[in-house]
Amino acid sequence: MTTQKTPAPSVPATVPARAPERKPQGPTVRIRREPNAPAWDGGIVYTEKNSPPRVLYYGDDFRLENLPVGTRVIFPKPPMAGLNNPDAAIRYALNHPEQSEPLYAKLYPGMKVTIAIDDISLPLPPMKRPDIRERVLTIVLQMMADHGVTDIEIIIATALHRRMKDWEVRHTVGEKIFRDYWPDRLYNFDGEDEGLEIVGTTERGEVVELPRRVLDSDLLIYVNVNLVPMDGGNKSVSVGLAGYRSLKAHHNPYTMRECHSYMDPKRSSLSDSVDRMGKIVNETIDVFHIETSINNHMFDGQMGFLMKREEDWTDFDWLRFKGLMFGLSKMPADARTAVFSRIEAPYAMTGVWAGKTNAVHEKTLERVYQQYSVPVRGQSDVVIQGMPFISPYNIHSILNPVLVQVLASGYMHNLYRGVPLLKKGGTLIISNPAEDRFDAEQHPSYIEFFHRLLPLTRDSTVLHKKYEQEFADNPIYKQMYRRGNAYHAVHPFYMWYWGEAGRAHMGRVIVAGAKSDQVCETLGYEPARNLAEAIEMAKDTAPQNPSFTMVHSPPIMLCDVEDPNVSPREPADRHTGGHGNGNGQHGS
Amino acid sequence: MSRAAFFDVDGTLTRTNIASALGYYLQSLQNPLLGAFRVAQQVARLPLLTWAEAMDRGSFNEQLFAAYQGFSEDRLRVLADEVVDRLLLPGLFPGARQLVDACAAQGMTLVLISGSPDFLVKPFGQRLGFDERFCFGNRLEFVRNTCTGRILPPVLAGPRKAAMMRELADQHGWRLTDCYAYSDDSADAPMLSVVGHPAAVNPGPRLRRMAQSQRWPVIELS
Repeated sequence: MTTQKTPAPSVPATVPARAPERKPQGPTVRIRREPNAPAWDGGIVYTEKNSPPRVLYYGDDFRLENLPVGTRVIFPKPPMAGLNNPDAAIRYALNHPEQSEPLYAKLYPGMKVTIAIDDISLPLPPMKRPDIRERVLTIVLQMMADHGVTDIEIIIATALHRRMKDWEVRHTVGEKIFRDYWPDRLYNFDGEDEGLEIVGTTERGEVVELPRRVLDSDLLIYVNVNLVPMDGGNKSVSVGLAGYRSLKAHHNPYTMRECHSYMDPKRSSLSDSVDRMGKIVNETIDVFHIETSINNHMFDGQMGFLMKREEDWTDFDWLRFKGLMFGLSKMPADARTAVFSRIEAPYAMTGVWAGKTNAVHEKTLERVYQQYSVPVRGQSDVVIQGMPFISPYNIHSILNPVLVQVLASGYMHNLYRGVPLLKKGGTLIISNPAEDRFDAEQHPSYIEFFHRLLPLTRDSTVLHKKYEQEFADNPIYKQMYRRGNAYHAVHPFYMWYWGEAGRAHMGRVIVAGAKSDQVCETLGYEPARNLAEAIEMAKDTAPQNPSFTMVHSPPIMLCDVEDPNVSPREPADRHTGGHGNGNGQHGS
Repeated sequence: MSRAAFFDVDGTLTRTNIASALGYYLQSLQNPLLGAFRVAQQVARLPLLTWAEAMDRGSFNEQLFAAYQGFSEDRLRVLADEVVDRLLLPGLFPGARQLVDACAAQGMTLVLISGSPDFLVKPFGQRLGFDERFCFGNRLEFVRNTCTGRILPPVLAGPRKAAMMRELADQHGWRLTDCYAYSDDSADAPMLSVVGHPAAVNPGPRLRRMAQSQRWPVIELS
């Protein structure tokens, strides 16, 4: 195996011989890596003849694929070390908040406090116990008890997501809090509740609404888990505790196509919109925001090898992987889904901040970027990406075709700052079976959306104008959202809009290993039997000697793409190997 | 847009089944001995009822409603309000009223279409805000103010419900593809199949399987 990581380049005239000096981003916080994590070498590996095959996620299965020689493979950073004493860090944050008085100073006997927490869509996969929310809630609730605060309700800020089931809530908040509060004082938010009140309208006409309980409270505390940069901040309250009439202000095709990207708040109209709404929220109620960041340690134990590069796999890792592939091949689809649903991530908390929303979020973003951003030079003609078993919207469920679409054209496409990794009009190859499988309990309206509407039109604007309200008013879906565990009727529309900017950017999407041509056709994608066929198809419309890039994810990463005009095959790219400091430190 | 929402009653909106009201009538007979005797008669007919249920819902209704034989029309109608207030309304599923109200809020015409006797369906529907003209149940035959225990044809069950929905849609200009239907019973599959928006409500295993294969939404109101 001779995979080249830092070759001596011969530099073409159009590319500077030396990479420009990088300005350090953020304050000089030294970030430790996990003890057994490899040193960070820049995360770029070029495929050679003898390179090992790469593991591609394939829904709730995997594919082992040989990539074309020269393919750039981008790996995530190794996990940052978690805080040594998370509970002490939480207490410190509560007592030393950003631009706010300490939490204890806000508390007094007889006051009414509402706590809102992020729902099960964060983090992915759900984390091992104790969940961060349990840690934070335990300390916050103890502090309130010490100050004689007894009128407390905890709302799971689901927005239009599905309601969490009792056992999921127990896993998230822990046994004691669950026993003390569920279901009367710890409950799921209801975006169709008559008790939602409009508290204001922004200068752009965006309606801001909040639950009656929150408006009646003396203090709202929001407990967030930040996985990627688009989480948290003003989005927490103004989206998490909002219903349809408020969310439609920004969850629409017009806002979504003006996001470049969702992960770059400065260039996201969604972020602008929630900031405007957040301003009204903060003028209306006293919000004490608690944000946490986590590392990217998604897998351990039997699946721990997925955190490593194939070059670093031991013989035992290969054996385990082959065993896993064999086992999965013998299982029916539902059993495979069940196996993957049981995965719990060993995420560690890398930071916690509290206080005013914007000041807190600034700190959080800085830490999140330190973990997730990978500097990359040059866009690619073809990007290859495995579509995993999970998205924020199918926890303990199936990744249906509409969710495959939102991963491919939405989330994965948007994991960039600067410019997209894929050249405008380029080809995205995803690895996924693209089967016609839906969870009728969680995604009932997705079925009608996919089978009735998408064959009529894939135009987001038409879907938005002509059909969204009809779905929103559907009493069946409304009832399933309010009483069952279904996503709101309009959720598949939102998922389609999330892919809007990606669809406008991509030339083609080819699904390697597609089992249903009809599913691909409905999504506007092209089916291919396998990756080799997909690559050949991609070459048909690509320039001569196209550049290929594989994003080796999850664990997820965020590509900071610079110099779009530089070919990713140019040796200048390989300077990224020098960004690490060689001693396992990363970040600035 | 002119459209309607069709609701089954027993097991869909209420916990009661079609025999619950009959049980109430039997136990409220003035002569308790006679009441006990009639109940015992029904128990003895259980194998016949089970067979009828296995055959089709219409036969079952015919067999079951034979137990109304001998009741005076006055008594059945006078006690109907009591049955509704003491049995059906307390047995409403928690989300039932919310579901009915959500349909009404969308401007749909609310239609009750049940295998239960019409003298029960109408007052029950009125309590939930249904127009009496759109509350349909089976009509029992009365001769000289006494119930014969026979159902006047057509028996409202299974495919007949679907046929009635089509007739109503024609009469009132509803587009069935825009209409909604709710039922808990696999015998109502035709009723669910004729509308554009069917939903299986608290379904039994058979309807649940059917809903799964047809990809009908499943609502749990209980």
